[in-house]
Amino acid sequence: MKDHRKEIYDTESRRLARIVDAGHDPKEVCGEGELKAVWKHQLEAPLTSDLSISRRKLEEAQLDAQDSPVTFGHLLQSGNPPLALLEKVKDFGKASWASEESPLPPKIGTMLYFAAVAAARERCDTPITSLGRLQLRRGVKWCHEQEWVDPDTRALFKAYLKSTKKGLWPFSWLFGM
Amino acid sequence: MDHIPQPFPTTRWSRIRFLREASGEEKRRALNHLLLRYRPALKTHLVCAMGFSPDKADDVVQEFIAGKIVEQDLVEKADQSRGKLRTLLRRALENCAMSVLRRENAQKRNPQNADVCSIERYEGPDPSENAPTDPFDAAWAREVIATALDQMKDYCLDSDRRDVWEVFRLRIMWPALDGRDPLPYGQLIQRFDLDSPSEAYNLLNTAKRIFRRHLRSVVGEYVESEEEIDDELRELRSVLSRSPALLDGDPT
Repeated sequence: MKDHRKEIYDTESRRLARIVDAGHDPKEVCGEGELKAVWKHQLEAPLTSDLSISRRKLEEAQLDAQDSPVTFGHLLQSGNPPLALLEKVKDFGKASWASEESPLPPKIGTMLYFAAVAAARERCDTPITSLGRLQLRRGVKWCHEQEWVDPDTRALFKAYLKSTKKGLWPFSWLFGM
Repeated sequence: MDHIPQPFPTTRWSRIRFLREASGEEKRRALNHLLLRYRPALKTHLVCAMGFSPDKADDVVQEFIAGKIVEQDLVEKADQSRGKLRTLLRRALENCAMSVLRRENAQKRNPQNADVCSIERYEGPDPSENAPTDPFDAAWAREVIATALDQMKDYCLDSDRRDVWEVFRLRIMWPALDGRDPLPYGQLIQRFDLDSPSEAYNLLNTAKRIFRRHLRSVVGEYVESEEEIDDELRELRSVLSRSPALLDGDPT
């Protein structure tokens, strides 16, 4: 193992300040450039790693996971996802905005939240949030525009934006809706 | 290093108060701890601010420790309401260094009368000048960070959390010390066998939290209150941001 004590005495002080800063910013964990890898990892993560659900519930859900563990990606891309699971995913994503001790980088949590909401709307035709239509569209639009989102989830957002466009106020585009 | 084992870093524990109250072996250990913490700063101040050679600075620091700190109980008599321990040590060291110079100068001019005082030989910069960052403070800041990292490493390894230490080292220390990119996220999850981003996030946050606690613990050793610790941390950040390159590096 390297001797950090010597390195500290050999390093420019301004760079040492970064160690102090890093220790004082709990939200600053991964950089923007890493969000793609983090999101990919989130989709590959088993639902059981983040959500408190039993194996029996997952079996009942009959998601197309074959022999592998059921992941967030399986759920969000399922043609008939169980609403109860989507709600759990939504709540898990929401927790990342709400607390200092959040379980996820906030942008990943936001993406997860709107992906669950969009999947519930598109695949189950059921709203699972009390957010207003315009707020939802604004959030989904933000998600759709992120470069780091995977093609399948982007397609889900695109479908949501298309299907919820009908009936909007004629000049809504002026307000980024 | 003189590591005093603790289950977890405590703050608001003034070692000055402890020094006053301790005796015998405990006192010796507490004094030794203080000297380990401040010795690099004392030496750096003599070399960078007062123009001593590294060898001569070692001699002066040794004399300062033996004469002022040990024999005259300088630290135990410190009145914290009158200023920081760092300021007290720096001023006392400067006085001691000037005395050494006067004495040596007098011995050279008149070997029979070593007590005649003169400061003619002192040619370094005026140590009282308000430099952007005092070398003493810059060296203190380095020692604080080095000690916090030492303690964090010991804590992580002792509590079987090598993963926490490694993730801090690979994601935060490496980039700061070596200028390298942090270990990429993809490699991070493979190396630590992490199932989900929340596990990775939790591991990184745990590492940062542990470092933060150790940093507060080290900074808090010679101050009395949480507010003073916050002040010292702000000053630490400020000292590191202001230090020009010429103050960087170990003067040894």
